Order: sequence, then C-alpha cells, then structure tokens
Amino acid sequence: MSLLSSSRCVLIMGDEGLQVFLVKTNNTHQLGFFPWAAEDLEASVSELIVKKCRRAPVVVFNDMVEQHYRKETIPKASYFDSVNIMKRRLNVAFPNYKIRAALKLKTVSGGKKDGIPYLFAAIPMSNSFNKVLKAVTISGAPIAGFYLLPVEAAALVKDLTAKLNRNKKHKSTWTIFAGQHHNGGLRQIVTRNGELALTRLSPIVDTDVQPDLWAKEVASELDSTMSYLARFGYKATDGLDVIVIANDSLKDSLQASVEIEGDVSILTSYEAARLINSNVGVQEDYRYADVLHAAYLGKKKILKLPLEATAINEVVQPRRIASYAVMGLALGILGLSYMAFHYWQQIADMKDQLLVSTQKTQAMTQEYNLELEKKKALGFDLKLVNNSIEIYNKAEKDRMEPLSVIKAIDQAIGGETHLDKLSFNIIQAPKKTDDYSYGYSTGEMENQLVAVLSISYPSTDSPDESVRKVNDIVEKLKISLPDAESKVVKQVADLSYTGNVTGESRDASRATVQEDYVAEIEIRRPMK
Amino acid sequence: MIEIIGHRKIYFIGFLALVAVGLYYYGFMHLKPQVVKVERSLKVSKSEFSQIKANMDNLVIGLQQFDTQKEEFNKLRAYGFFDAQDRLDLMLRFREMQKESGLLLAKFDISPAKVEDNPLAKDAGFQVLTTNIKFNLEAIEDVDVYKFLYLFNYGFPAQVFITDIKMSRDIGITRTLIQRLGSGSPVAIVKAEVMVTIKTMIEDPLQKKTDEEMVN
Repeated sequence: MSLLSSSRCVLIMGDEGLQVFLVKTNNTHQLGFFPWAAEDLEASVSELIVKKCRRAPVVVFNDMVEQHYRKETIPKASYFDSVNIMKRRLNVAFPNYKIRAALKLKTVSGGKKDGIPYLFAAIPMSNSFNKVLKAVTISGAPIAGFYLLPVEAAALVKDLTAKLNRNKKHKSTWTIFAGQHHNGGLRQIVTRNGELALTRLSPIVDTDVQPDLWAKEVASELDSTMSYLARFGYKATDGLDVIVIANDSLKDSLQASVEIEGDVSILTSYEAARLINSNVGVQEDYRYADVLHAAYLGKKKILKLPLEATAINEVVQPRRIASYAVMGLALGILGLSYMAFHYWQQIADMKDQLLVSTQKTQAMTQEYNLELEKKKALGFDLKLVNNSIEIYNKAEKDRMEPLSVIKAIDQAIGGETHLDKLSFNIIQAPKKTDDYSYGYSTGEMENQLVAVLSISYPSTDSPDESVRKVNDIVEKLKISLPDAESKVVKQVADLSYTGNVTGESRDASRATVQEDYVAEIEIRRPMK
Repeated sequence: MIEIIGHRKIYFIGFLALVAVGLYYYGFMHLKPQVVKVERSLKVSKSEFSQIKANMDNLVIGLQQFDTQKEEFNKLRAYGFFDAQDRLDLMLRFREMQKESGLLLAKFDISPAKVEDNPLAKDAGFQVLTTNIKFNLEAIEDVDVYKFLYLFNYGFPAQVFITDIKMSRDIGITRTLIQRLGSGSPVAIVKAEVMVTIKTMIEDPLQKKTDEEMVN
C-alpha cells in the first residue's frame, strides 16, 4: 500500500554526503544531512526512513559531480530492434559504468531526420551508492527509483520558466537555473526548449556572510556557463532566462554582479516553490535549491529517466513485486468481502421472506384444514371426493380401450375372411399435429394403441382379388375408426411393377397343397 | 529475497493471503451453498403456499360443484374403484367370467399388488393399489375372447387397463377337428395372451391406525 502513499522519502546524493527529505502533499521536511564518511550512515538513514518517513517510498536522486551524458542518434527501427540497438549503443558509450539509462528526446524541427535523438546518461558504481542502497534495503521501505537530479530537474526549470514568463510575448529558448546545494556546490541546469542541454556543479563559498563574494562567485560561474552555451549553438536572438535561487538579502548584490544578456530572476527557494505549487516548509535559509528539487520531484509520480543496474534491480524488483502482491491481495480481499457481504445480505433477505412465506402457508393450511374438518363433520369428505375423481380421470388417459377397435375389425372383415392373428399393445410414438401440418412430427411423444391383424386368403383365390379385399377392409376401418390411422403393412401381393411378388409354379402332376396369401393391417390410434 | 523484501512485508503478505483464502472459502464454500439452500427452501415454501391457496380456492369451487362431483364419486364407488382387491374374490370373479364368456380355459397369474406413490390419495388418507394380471385364454371362437374382455372391461370392480393382447388361430380346419367338434369334445382353436392392470383406491391402513390411535 505504500506505493499509493502520498508521502515520499527523497534522498539526494551529493559529493559531500546524503540529504534526506520527507515530502508530503503540502510540505517538505529536511530530515538530515549525512556525510559519506559517517560510520553509521546506513543505520542512521535507515532509522530515519523507518521512524520519520514511516517507510514511505524512497526516491533517490544523484547530484554528484561524476555524471556522464552523451547525445546519440539511434536509427529508426521497430520497437524491439530499437530497444536492442539502444542497449548496445549505451554499452558502447559507457562500457565502464554499471548504472546507466537512455532518454528519448524531442526531435528538433528542421534537424536531422535520419534517426531518433537520445540522451545517454551513466554514473559509476560508487561506495556512496552502495551505502544508500544498503540503507534503503535495511529500512524495508519500497524503492520508487534511482534518478539523476539534473535530468529530472529540467521539468522544474521548464515549469518555473513558464510561470515567470506567463505574461511575456516572446518566450526564451534557453534557461539557466542556478542554485546552491547543501553539499557546497552550485548546481546549474541549462535547458533548451525545456530539455536538458547542459549541467554543471561547481564549488563555491557556502556562506552569505560576505554577500558580495558569494554573488561574484555565482556571477562568475554563470559567465563560465555562458561561454559553454555558445558551443551548444546559443545565439543571443534565441532568448535566455536566468533563474538564481538566493536569499532576499543577496538579491541586490547578485543583480548587480550578473552581467548576462537575458531576463534574470532571483528568487528564494520559498518563492520558487510557491510558483510551482510546492512548499519547501520552514527553512533556516532559503538560498538552497536542493530542498526545492526535493519538494518538486518528491511530488512527481512519474519521473523521466529511471537508472538501471543489476544492483538496483535486485532490490527494486522483489520489493515492487511484493508491493503489487499486497495491492492485488488487498483488492482481492475487497472484492471477496463485497461478495461475502452480498451473499450474506441475500441470505438474510431470503430468510426473512422464507419466514413470512412459512407463516402464511401455516396460517392458510390451518384455515384449509379447519374448513375441511367442518365439511367432513357435515358429511362431506371433499378431499376424498375431489382427489379420487382426479386420480380416476388422470388414469383414464392410459386406457387402451381395445374393444371398440375389435368391434370395428369384426365389422370390417365380415364372416368370410380368415383372421389368423390379432395383437394389441401400447407404444410411445411422436405426436402428430393437425391436418394442416401434413403429419409432420412436433417432437412431442404420446401413447398410441397399435393393433396388428393378420388375415389370410386361400391360394385358390386370385391375388388381385385378395388385394382388393384387403384394401376394402382398410377402407372400412378408416370409416369406422376415423381417429385412427389404418394401413396395410403387408399386402398379399404387390402387383405393381415396383412391388414384390413371391409364388411358385409346379407341374400339375406334382401339385401339393399350396400356401394361403397372408396380409397384415396395422391400426394406430392415439390414446386419450 | 526475504531480506530484501523484509520479514514484516512477507508476514503481511502471508496474512493478507490467509485472509483472502479465508474469505474465498467463507464466500464460496459456506455462504454460496447456503444461498442456494435458502433459495430452494423459499421456492418450496412459495410453491406450498400457492398449492394450499389453490386447494382453498378449489374447496370453495368444490362446494359449489359438490352435487355434481358427489354423483361422479358414487359412480366410481359403483364401478368398484374402492374395492379392496381381495384375491379370493378376484379368482371367483374370473371363474364366473370364464363361464359367462364361454371360454374353454382362462389361466391367470395375479402379481402381488403394488402401492402407487400418489400424493393426492395420501392427502385423502387413501392408497392407490395396482395389480398386474396375465391371462392365457383358450376358446373355440374368437368372439368368446372378446366376450371375456368385454366383461372384464365393463363389469369388473376396478379401473381396468388392458395393456396387451395377442390372439391367434393356429389350428387349421381339418377333418379330424370337425370330427372332434362333432363328437362334442371341445377343441381350442383360438388362443390369446392378455395383460391386464387393475387399479383401485383403498384406505391407508397406517393413516387409519393413526386416526384410531388419536381417537383412543
């Protein structure tokens, strides 16, 4: 859950030591400064993170002198190819530095279009870096990331310039931001169109007892930076803003010392912070800029250039996974709790309904039984009368009623025809629809009475005569049993050219008793 | 790994996982089946209420139609729908029917009676009794078989279901047969196998006993 925390513990690594800040939504606290030489640095910083920062996510900014930058252009390629090319180029550019990263820059309009410009950055794996990593590891706080202060501070410079120049018609292309850090150095960040163009860290006097001396040193460093800018393509027509962080008491001396052509703004860290909607809190001295960086960058959720190194990943990845696991589990618990509550509520509601329904049923049953008893006492066993009639009528649907069919068969065959076999049974067959559906099955099943009668004619009769007689019987059955389907299933002989006729022809001297002709008729009638 | 993540966080993750598993089991293994169970009970209860309400409505309507129904009930009684299916009585009746129809032989096989699971009968304090009977009949003429079936269908004290009939005339008219018939000795020319089920309602002895016990 700490990843969602609004507080951040900001560590700024300088050449002299480590600055620790706690950045909250509306305030920034400077918690301490630890020189690298301090014996118990790891334990002290870790304790501070645990006790003062309450294990808020830690974000580390490198503000040391040894930072290496290079602008490279990488040819356009597919996403995966460009990632591989960039890694290889980064490796080639800084083979001796383990901590490095690359930042995609904006393509300058009118510039070369044969590739994408990248800012490559690298720092060495130093003793101080290891100490910070160890301190954070011991604390158990989640690590939000390791970053380079000048790269990330370019955004602060951009925002600050925009606020200062909001009423200006012609916006400057270049900005020099200069501010002294607690480490004793003057950090200058030069941006061109809002992107980092140059950064310098130079040692100057760390006192304002002699305002003129401090102002002169700052002015001198600014002049040196200007001489570098010409090499970066600076022209006077581009426009230049100079922002210097200084105490109120030093503003006049500094204004008098700076002789650069451009708009010079001298602000206290408090004023600068107000402009960019941050708060540096109560400080003894408002001439330091590192607290401003901490206040601004500590609130930013997404920073530009996270540094990558195996040592960092070994700590960051497991903690990130653990944090995601916590978040996932917390969300799961939330969902499951909601589900459990929903079920519980459903059960409670239904139990209430069940109680009402049971009570109603009981009351109604009681009333019903009372009524029945009253009727029974009067000599009316209504239940027996009603139920027995219902049972009887339901069962009647299963009656085959073969007698009417037997009677119809008897009338149809007459006295002369020889009935050999007669069988009745009940089968389950698909229900037929009305006449208009042409006898197609509806898929429903029904009980049907099936009667099969077998009749025979003497062999002395001619086959066509026997066929006619059989057909006559079927026609009569159709008339007497209109609700039944009567058909010949086996004819004595089929005399059509598609039919089958069996028989034999013998020599008259060898004549024996010939077999009779046999026909079968089937009657199907749906039951009630 | 544990050192990097920290014991505290590991325990916390473990605790959250336990809570999640507990909630999952509580929700899906305990509450959900309970929802289904209560839902089913509610449906049963509602259906019971509808049934009893329908019975109540029928009772009111029944009272209005009672005269008609009582007439029908008396007819059922006259048909023998409330006959106790006494086996000795059945055999005597079969013998009478055999003589009456002119059958040469009526062999019967009466199966043990079965009590049908019928809630309507149970509600009225009765049982529905069914008995399957198999007949092997022999006759000189097929009309005798028809007479027997007719007597059974319309004269037997029960609800009668003829479920299967197989009738055949296997013997040809020969000289010997005519001689035997002429001498007055009967010969079975027509044979039939008939399956019949009879159904009646009898008072539930258990319920009756309970009522008696209650009276005592």
